Amino acid sequence: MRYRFVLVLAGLMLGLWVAPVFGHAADEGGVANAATEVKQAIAFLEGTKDIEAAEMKIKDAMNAEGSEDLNKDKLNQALGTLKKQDVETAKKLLAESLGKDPQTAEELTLRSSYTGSALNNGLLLAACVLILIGGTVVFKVKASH
Amino acid sequence: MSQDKGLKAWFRQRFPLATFGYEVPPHANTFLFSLGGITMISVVILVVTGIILAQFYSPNPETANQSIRILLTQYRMGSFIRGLHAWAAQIAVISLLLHLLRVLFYGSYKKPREINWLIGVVLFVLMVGLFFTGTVIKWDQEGFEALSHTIAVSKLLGPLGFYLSPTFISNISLLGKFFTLHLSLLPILLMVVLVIHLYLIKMLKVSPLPWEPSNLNPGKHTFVQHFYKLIGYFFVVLGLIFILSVLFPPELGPVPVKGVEASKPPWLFMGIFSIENWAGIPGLVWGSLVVFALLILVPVIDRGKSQLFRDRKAVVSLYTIICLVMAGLTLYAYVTKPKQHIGMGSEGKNIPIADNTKDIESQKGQPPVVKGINESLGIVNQLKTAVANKDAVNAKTLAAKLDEALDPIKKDIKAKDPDLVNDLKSDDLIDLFKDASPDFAKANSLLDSIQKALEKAKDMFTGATGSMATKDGMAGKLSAAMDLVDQIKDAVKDKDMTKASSKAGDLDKALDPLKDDLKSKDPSLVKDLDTDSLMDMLKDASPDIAKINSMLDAMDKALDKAKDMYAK
Repeated sequence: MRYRFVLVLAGLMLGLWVAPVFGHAADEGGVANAATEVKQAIAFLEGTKDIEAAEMKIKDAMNAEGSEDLNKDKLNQALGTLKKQDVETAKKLLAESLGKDPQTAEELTLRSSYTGSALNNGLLLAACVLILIGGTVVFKVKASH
Repeated sequence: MSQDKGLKAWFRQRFPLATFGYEVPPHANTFLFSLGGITMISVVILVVTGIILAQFYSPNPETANQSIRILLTQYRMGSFIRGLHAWAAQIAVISLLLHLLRVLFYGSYKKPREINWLIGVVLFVLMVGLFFTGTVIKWDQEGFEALSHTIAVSKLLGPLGFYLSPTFISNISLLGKFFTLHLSLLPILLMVVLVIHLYLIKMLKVSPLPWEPSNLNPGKHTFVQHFYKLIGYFFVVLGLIFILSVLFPPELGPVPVKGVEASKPPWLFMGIFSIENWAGIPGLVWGSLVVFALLILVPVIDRGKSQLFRDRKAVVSLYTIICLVMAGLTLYAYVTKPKQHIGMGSEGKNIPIADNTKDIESQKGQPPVVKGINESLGIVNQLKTAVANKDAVNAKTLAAKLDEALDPIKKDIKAKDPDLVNDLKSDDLIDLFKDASPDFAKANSLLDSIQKALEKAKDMFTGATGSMATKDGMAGKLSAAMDLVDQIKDAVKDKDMTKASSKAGDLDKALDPLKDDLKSKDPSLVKDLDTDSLMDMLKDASPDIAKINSMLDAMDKALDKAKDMYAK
C-alpha cells in the first residue's frame, strides 16, 4: 500500500513537471492608454522592482493614446534615473508625469516609519513592560509538589 | 468554614475553575506544546484589531485602498492598529505552522487522534483562507493580483468554482464577497472547528512524547498551569507585536492597475507561486491539492502503531524532505520574476478598480466649471461600467459622487443654457439605485442623457476646438493662476517650502503664455507677476516669509486686475 502511494505521489510530481504544456497562455486583453502604461510601470517598480519591464512600459506610454496628457519631460527623466538604477526617484517622476503629487499619489506605496515620537516611544515602553510581565508569568509558573 | 468566605471563595463557587485542574503530562506545559495556544492568542488579537479596522474600511473597489490610506494618514493610531493586525496575522500563521510541524514530527496524529489531526488540517485551511482574504481586501496591486488568480482558478474549476466567479451574485463585487468571507464566514467556521478541536484534546488528553519519557520535571502538572503560562505568552506576544508595529509598520501598496503581474504573493504562498511560475494556473491548483492531500493522508502514510522517532525514521525523513522542498520552492520564488501568464486581460477586466486617472497637468488653465464637467464625465464613464456589470452597490456610490460633482457647476451651466441643467438628473439616478433590484436599462438611458448634456456644456465653456484663446479662455487661465497663488500661500503658511516651490513652478508655466498679452494691455501688471524671483526666494535655505507673502499678495492683486480687464 505504501509503495502504491509512493507511485501515485511520483506520478503527481511528474504531472506537475509536464504541466507547463497546459500552462495558461498570456491573454493580451487589449491596448492600454498612456496613463495606464505609466501606472503599470510604477506597479513593476513598486512590486517586483523589474526595471526592464518598467522601462518598456514608459516607452510604450510615450507613444500610446493619451500621451499628450502626460508630462514627457518627467517620463524621459524617469528613464534616465532608471538607467542609473535609482528606482525611488523614477517612481516619483512617473507620478509627477501623471500630474500627481508623489507625497500623496495613490499610485505609489504608502510607507510609514518609526518617527521616534513620544507616542512611538511610549508604545515601545509599554511593549517592554508587557514582555516583562509575560516573561515573569511564564517562568514563574512551575509544577506543584 | 473559613474556606466558604471571602472574595476567593465567592469567585470559586461561581466559576468552578477547579475542573481545569486536571493533570497533564510535564511536556504539555513546554513551549512546543503551547504553540497551538499561541496561535489562539494571536487570533484573539486579530479579532479585536479586526473589529476596529472594519470601522474604517470601505469594501468597495473604488474606495477600498483609499479608505486604508485615510486610516493611516489621518488617524493618529491608525498605522499602529493596522500594524497590530498585520503582525498578529504573521505570528498566528508562523505559530500555526510550527504547531503543525510539531504534531507531524512527534506523530501526535496517531490513534486515537487521527480525527483531531484532520480537524487541525481544516483549521489550517481556514487560517490560510483568512490570510489570503486579508491580503486581497487591502486592495493594492498584490491584493488585486491575488483576486485575479482566484478568478483564473474559478474558471479552471468550472461549476465548482462558482462562488469565486464575478458572475455569481454579480451585483456584489468580488471584493465585497471576500470582505464578507474575511469578516464573518471564515472566523465563524474557525471558532466552531476550534471548539471541537479543543474538546477532543481535552477528551483524548495531550499526546505522549516520541521518545522514552524522563523524570526531569517532577511534580504535579495541571492544565491550570498551562492556562497561566498562556496568559504569560499573551503578554509576551502582545509586547512583541507592539514592538513590530512601531518599528516596522506594514506598507500599503499602490491602487491596483490592470494588465500586468507586477507583484509576488505573501511568503506563505511563495512555494505554490514557484509551481505556478512553471506550470501556470493548473500548477497552482494541482500544487495546492497535492499539499492538502499529503496533509489529509498523514495518518494513512504513517499507520504504524509506534509513535517513537526510532520506529518512524522513514516517515520522519519523508516529512523532512517535503519540508525542505517547500522551503526551497519558497526561497526560489524570491529570486524569480513572476511570469505574465494569467494575462490579467480577461481575468482582470471585469474587476472594477478606482479610475483615478485625473490629469492635473491637462486640466491646468481651465476654469473650475470645466474641471467640474470633466470630473463629472469621468464619473459617468465609471457609472456606465458599473451598470454594464450590474454592480448596483458600486453604482449607488458613484451616483452619489456624481451628484456631488454636479452640484457646484449647475449654476454656471444654467447661466449659459437653462435647458441643459434639466438633463443632469443625478437625483433620479440616486433614487433608481436605492432600489434593491434597480432598472439598469433606465439607468443607462439616464447616463446617456447626462453625458450628452455635459459634453454640450463642455463645448459651450471651451469652444468647439477646446481652445482657450477667447476672452473666456483668458479669464479661465487667470482664475487658475489665482488658485495657484492661493495654494502657494497655504503651503508657505504650513511652512511646506517644497510644495510651495513646486506650485510656484506650476504658476510660472501657467503665466508664461499669458505675459505677452497682459503686457500689451498693461505693462505694470507683468512687473508684479515675477515668478522667477518668487521661485528663487522659495528655494532659499532661510526664506524671507514676510517678503514672499507680500509678493504673493501683489500677484493676487495683479491677476485680479487682469481678470477684470478681460471681463469688460
